[in-house]
Amino acid sequence: MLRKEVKIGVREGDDIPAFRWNVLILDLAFNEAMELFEADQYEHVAEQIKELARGRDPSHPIGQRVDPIEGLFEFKDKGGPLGRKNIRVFFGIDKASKDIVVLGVIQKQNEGATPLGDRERMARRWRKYRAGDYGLSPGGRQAKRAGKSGGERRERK
Amino acid sequence: MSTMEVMPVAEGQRAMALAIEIVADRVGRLAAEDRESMFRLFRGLGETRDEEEVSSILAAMREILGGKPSGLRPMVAGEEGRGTLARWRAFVSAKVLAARKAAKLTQVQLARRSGLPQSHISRIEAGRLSPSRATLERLAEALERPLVDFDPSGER
Repeated sequence: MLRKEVKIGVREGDDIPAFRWNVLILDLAFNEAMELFEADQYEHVAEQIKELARGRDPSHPIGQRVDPIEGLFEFKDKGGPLGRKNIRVFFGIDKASKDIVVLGVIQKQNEGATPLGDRERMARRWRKYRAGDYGLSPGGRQAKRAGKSGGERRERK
Repeated sequence: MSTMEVMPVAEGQRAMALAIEIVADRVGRLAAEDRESMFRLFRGLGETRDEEEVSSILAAMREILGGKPSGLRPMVAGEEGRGTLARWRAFVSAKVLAARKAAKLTQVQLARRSGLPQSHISRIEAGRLSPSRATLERLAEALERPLVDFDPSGER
């Protein structure tokens, strides 16, 4: 599959807002997405996250449904190319490095609240990201410098 | 009840006790925040019978105890305009354009009514953007059409 990176400052046309945020994804989240989505569904979801990256505040987008969840955010979508899949994409916002960090993806069985296990898993992934455990993200480096981390640093893949 | 029937139960209990001991040891070695998380998960497991909740809790426990490493990479998006997604974009594009024309609205007027940026509507009508459910709901409401007009799978 041919792919291109989402980079801050990239313009696709005069009427399209430029990207204001970088978008990073954990390998864990990427693997979950690969298990859950067909190729076209992944493209649709990636497009929604790109749209978040164009906005001033990804936690309050105009064209997507995003809800706060324990210091993180949850993008919700269904229908269209997703068909009957009712999906949730969890992400954190690293304002220091202007990164949207995609933490995980799940398929919900109903419209109810996000299950406890998923909340705990995503909160843990965000803690580890902030501690720099997932690689050399700018926000992670800042947390290290500020003495907030306790985790082992790994090279970015 | 014979001794032969009682023995397997006793062995089962011993095996369970051993398993609990091993898990307790693993939990005790976790970082404080992970340990607290495990306690919340154990509590949650005892309080729910919902299948989705149980499976979510077990997945979280496995992740915490397993400590699987992960890297971080830039999120990438694919080439536009292929396959099912291309057909979906074309379908929505035609539907939104036709509904807007029928309502005698310009893109700017529809943008005002729906609260969406005009550039968003322009890209949807040009088949260059795959709209989310939230976007389609705004458009359907602004155009006074049922959601299913824009998304045949549009059950609420």
